[in-house]
Amino acid sequence: MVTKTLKKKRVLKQGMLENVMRQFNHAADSIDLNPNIRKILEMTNNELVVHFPVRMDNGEVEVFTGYRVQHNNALGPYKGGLRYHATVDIDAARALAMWMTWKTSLAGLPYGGAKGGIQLNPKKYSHSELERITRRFTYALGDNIGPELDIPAPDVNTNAQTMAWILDTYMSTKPPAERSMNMHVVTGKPIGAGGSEGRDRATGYGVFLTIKFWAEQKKVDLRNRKFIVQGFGNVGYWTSHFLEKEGAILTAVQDASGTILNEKGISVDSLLAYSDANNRSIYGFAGAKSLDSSEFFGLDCDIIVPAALGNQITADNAKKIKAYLIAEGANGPTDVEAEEILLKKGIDIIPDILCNSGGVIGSYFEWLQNRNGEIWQLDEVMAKLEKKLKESFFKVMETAKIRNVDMRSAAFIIAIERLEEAYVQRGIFP
Amino acid sequence: MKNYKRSVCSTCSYVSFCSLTTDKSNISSCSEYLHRLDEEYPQITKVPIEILRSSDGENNKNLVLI
Repeated sequence: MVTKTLKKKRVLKQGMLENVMRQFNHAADSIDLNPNIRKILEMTNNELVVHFPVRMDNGEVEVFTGYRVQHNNALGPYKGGLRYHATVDIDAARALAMWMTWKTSLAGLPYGGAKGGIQLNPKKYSHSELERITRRFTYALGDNIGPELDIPAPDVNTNAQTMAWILDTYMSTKPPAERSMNMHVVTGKPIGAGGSEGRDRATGYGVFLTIKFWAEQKKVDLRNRKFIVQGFGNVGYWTSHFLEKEGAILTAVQDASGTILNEKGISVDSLLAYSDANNRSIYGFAGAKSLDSSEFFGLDCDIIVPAALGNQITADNAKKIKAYLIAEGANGPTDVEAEEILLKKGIDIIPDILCNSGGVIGSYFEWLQNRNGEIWQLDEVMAKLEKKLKESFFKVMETAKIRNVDMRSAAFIIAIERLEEAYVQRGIFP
Repeated sequence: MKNYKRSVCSTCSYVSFCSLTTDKSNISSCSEYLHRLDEEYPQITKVPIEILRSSDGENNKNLVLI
């Protein structure tokens, strides 16, 4: 009985890591990656596990376990989120850290990849307990993070407030004269505490831009094109907002509460207002009718934006898809079997690693502003984001054409080749 | 928590009626993820009555019908 339980747990635990490794191996094989560099990239550089005590509101002391995995820093300081969740463990952190390395490399940023967090169920703790947990975790991490070493960002159950606590604690451990030199130890801060304009919309704007670049490349006019969005959170909303501004028509939305459809168009801002007033639920919106969730991906439309969960487009629903473009706002929304079916049908997929990279590029801009003592206006941030994303997008299109591969393979090839180049040029110490 | 040990769904406010996926066992990120602490006031989840009828009702003690 015990053996069975352990076996099952191992399979589940390795799922995410296996998926990341499979994508890496596929790209590494196709570029015939130097075997020594493959050895390096298969492993994480550093894995830190910290156990730290925190006094609870009732006076008792509880000991927490925190993680920080630093996968690779060949291109620059480690970068990646910190999450507070019961599922945080070393395997999850490894997989997500590796994922960050490919993402920052593809985006052409001077960053490596990292991920971490604390294993806890945050609903069990008060606001002030979470503040003490965050501050003590930051202290436990000590100089293993730093503005030029490893730069955390928000993730599941962490937000701008969490980043402000980390910043404040980290700065407090430095001599007075050095404190203000450390503003860029975290990104995703509140604007008043060194955050950047536009960080809220960066991911969604990035998704929109990749769709726009794709349309330009294919000579498709986005005006009056129908699009559907899964997930009406930050990414789903901002993507819809910018697509609507470009003249495209939002015809269906799916979120946790249900699916709505109006073939004549759904007003994005009216839906947001309804959702805000209705506990973040789109169900019951007067400007559309409700629909069975299983029909969503088969709806008649031109563009699908999955911006919620992973593994949503599967072999079952891929056959029914009528759109000619899928823009992956979420991480891993298309599974392997579905991707094969879609590519055979001639449907283009803008891969997640490219499509939703606007967020990390926005983080980079925040880091740069703090580092250089600058404050950029919103239009400046958006213009720079467009320039940066355009470079990545057309590099992916070019590589896909030259190597005759799909966009996802091209994106991984670019990411890994950039790392390979860094290692070849720098060599291995000593 | 017991059912979705490897998933962020385990602490999501929408878990009892989420229509995004039937497989909530291994979800590592979700733009719809909403934690109780994100809200200023205690969570009052509004769900359509059709969904309540189709669910087993186990998690619906705190739900408000609309």
